[in-house]
Amino acid sequence: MITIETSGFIPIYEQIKKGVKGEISLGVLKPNEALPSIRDLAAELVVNPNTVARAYRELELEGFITTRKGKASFVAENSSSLIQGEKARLLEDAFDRAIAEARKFGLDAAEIRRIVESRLKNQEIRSEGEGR
Amino acid sequence: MSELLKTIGLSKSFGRHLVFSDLNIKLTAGKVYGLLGLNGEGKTTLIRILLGVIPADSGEIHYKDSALSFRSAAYKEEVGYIPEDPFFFGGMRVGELLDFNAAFYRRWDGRRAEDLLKRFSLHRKARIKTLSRGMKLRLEMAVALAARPALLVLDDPTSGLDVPTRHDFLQDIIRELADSGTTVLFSTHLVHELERIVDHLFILHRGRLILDEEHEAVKRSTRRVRLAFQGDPPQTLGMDGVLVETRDGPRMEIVVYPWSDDKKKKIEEFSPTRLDVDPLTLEEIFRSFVAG
Amino acid sequence: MFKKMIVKEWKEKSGLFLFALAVLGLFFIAFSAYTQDKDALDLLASTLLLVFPPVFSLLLGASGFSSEFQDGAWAFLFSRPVKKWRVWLAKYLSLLTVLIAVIFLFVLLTQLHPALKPAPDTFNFPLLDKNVSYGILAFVLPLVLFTTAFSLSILSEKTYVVAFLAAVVWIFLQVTVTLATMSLYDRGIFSSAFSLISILSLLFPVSLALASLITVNRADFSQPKRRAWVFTKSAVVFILASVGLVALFELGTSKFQRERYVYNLEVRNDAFYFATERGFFRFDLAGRQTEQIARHPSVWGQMSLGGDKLAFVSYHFTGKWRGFAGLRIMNSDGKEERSLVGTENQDSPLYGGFIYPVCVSPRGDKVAFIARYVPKTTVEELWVINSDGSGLKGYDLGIRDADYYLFISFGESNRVLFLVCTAKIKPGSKDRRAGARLLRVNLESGHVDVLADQIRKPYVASMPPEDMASGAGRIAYIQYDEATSRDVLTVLDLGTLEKQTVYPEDSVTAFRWNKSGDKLAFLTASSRLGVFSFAEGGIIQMKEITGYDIRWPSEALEWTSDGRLILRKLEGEVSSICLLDANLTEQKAIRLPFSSYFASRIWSAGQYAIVEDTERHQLWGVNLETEQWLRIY
Repeated sequence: MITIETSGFIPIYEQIKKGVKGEISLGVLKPNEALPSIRDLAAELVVNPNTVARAYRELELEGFITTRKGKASFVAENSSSLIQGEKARLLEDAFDRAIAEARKFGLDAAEIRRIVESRLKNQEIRSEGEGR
Repeated sequence: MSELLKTIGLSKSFGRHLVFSDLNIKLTAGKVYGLLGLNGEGKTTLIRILLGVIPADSGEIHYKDSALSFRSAAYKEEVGYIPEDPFFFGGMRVGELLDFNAAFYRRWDGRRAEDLLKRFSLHRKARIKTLSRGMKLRLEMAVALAARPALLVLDDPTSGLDVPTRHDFLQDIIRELADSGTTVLFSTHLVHELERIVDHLFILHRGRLILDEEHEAVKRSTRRVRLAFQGDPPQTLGMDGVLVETRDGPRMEIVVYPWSDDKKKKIEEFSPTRLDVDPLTLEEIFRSFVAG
Repeated sequence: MFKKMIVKEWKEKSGLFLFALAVLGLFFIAFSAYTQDKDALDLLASTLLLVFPPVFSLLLGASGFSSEFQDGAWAFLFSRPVKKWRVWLAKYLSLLTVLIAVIFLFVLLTQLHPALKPAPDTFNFPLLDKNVSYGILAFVLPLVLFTTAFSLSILSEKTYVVAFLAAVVWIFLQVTVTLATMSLYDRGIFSSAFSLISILSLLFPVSLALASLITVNRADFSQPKRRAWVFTKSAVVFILASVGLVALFELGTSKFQRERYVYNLEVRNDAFYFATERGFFRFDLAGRQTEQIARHPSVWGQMSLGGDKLAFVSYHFTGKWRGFAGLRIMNSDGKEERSLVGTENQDSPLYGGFIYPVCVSPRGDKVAFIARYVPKTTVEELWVINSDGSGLKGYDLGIRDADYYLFISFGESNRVLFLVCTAKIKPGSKDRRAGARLLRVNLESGHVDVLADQIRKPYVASMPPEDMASGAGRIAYIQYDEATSRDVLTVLDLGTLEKQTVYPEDSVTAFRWNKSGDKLAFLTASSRLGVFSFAEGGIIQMKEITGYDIRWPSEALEWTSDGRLILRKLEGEVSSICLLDANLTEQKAIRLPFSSYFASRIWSAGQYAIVEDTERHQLWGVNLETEQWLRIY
């Protein structure tokens, strides 16, 4: 599911792009599968169709989707491979945000590292606890 | 991108009270325009003037390259209008209103009207008086859209409605946009709703257009800067575009438009102990613009 | 759009429509209930006719834009792709159909209900001495009020306020224009006040409608004060323009028709006097000059000369929507003009009456006149007053069916008065006895004698009045003889009261006394011209005349002061007057300086013959010796 938030930090079309890429990487959208039409996605997300159109255009330029007959858009064949590259970038964005938040609270680099370590450990213990 | 509507030097006063003067706006086909402003600062007046309901004191309006006068009527075939307070038609029924309106428009699409009625769950025989506010709004939508307007002008139509209704309403607009590429001029003070769909912003404040810019560009270049200094903050930072400035002891917070690296460097010259630059929501941006 | 608008308006005003129907229905029931009671019917009829159309049309018009204002629907209409003036017009016409429907039902009620049917014909509402007809009340007035109220309805959403305002505005305009026109008319500036007032009364609602249209097209409807200001400005402009246009038109055409309607001409030895719509004039024969001796517009030319005095009737209008007649007297040179009797004074026994005709005694010391429709009396119609204004006395002639009267003369040193009284002839009546009567009234006793009846036109002529002063004298007239079915020329001797038929052999169509009163010239039905001499006691000339224009016989004949006869001739387009000598042979023919199909009367005084150009309303005189024409008026 793609969700959009309008707090203003990330442009909506970027969020849509990320959302689509996320769905591709998770396998929700498989290669050659049709994407929702601009109209439907715009209505569902309650955003300007132009914005959706722009997102789709850029996704096409980046090679993630193809548009056939000028109407429907489909997930590209080789999207999976592209996704791998994206994953790293996606993660980096997430981390950048987290670090920016932390800085707002006045944490320095050392404190941030400590928190990351502790959270990672926490996750491992949890998953072990659940029997993987 | 073709130019749909343009005003040149538009001015209006009510008696001695100046509403706005020398207003120049341009609407390009296919975009969604947001007209923001505080209540009572002339949004409705401007819209009424654009629709030829009341005359401007001076200035010109052009629609698709033809100059308009207060008496011009033909261009209104392509303009749909949904006002702030829905038109009240006494004892009329839904069907009667649609038929009455149809008589005015040459490219009235009767089938579309029926489709819209169905989609909005409106019955022809229902008396308009008995409709809820939300249903009245949908009726106005049907009335406006069945004429296949090239430009849809909405004057804060959703104030007083609950969130789900507003949400549905926005969806209807979006569908219309996607289907017909209609240009939309949306005046509202519910800014955060507009945020999702607006392409271009106008802010009307104290009789002047203080912002006339693409939504994205505004978002990109407006920043809240949180500063802290050792001792008192400087009297002035010596840069333009400071929309809001608040001081609290050694701390200072400003909202700047347009933000740039040069400005950042300027501030750094004052050796702040803290310099945090964050983006703002559209609501916050709007508030900052009208704070002055 | 128009069709939809009609439907919409009918729906919106259905309440008003049903209310009107209910009112009419109530009246219908009331009429049926009171069929026998004439007074009640009159009251109901007057109420219905006077109250219903105006009130309804005001309310309907005033409600014109009220719903638009209440709903805010004016913004809706103005944001549609339709020119604003079309919206106004569509609304106006739609509401007009409602008005027409109601008026139609109203007329139906008044025409169909047996009790009310005669009302339209007999209905009269006295206003300025003209009866405001049913047609105006039922059709014109509602339309005018509706248009006025509708034009004003753009100013406010409160129907009753607009209706009241419309009534006030209408009354104000009507009254102002009427008063202004009347006072100007009094000064002889306009010749036809009523057409002026009617045209302006129709132009005013048009002006208001135009102002309303302009306001809709230009003004900011969201600002009530501005709206009102634009409307008022436009209304004032249009109203003044209407007034200006009409005034210009009237003045312009009056200029060309300034000399209008010569009514009456009285000939004396040294001058003659004539009455026109502009006033009274005197043409002096010696000086050959025309001068105006009185400015009062002459109404029906009533004037009379006697001795050195001239009496005449004038009309003037007070500010109270009424016209009043005044009997005035002056010296024959126009000096010392004063009022003898007026009908506007409530104390006067003649208050509210209508004076026509007038006669001055031969010595100018007494004036007799007929006053009719005097509210204070239904009996006395003949009145005599001294020329100094004293001694007003009324007489009951005992006649109830008189159509109108004509004076002949005073006689016997002002002891008696001779006049002719014509009788009303019922339409379609074959009663030939309804001819005129010759009356002699004894002014001391009030006794009335009928000297002759069955008198036909041309009505009676007496000999020169001066000669009747003594008591002798003759009156000539045409009497219908049943036995022979002829109009016989008869002469009555006032001394012996003996009648003498002049020419019983044939019907006589015209006759004329000569200047000395001892000869009568006459025309017969078989186109013969005869002269009867009293000195010689018989007909001295009888001749068949051909080639003369005797289409209007009574106008065709005149004597000159030296005993010649004048007749008209029309050859092709050329008219001329011909002089005939004592043997009825044509001496000379003098061509008229104008050509006209119509033949007017000929008068002769001194050296002159006077002819009227009835088409251009001019008077021409010719010196019979020099044959020089002179335009007198």
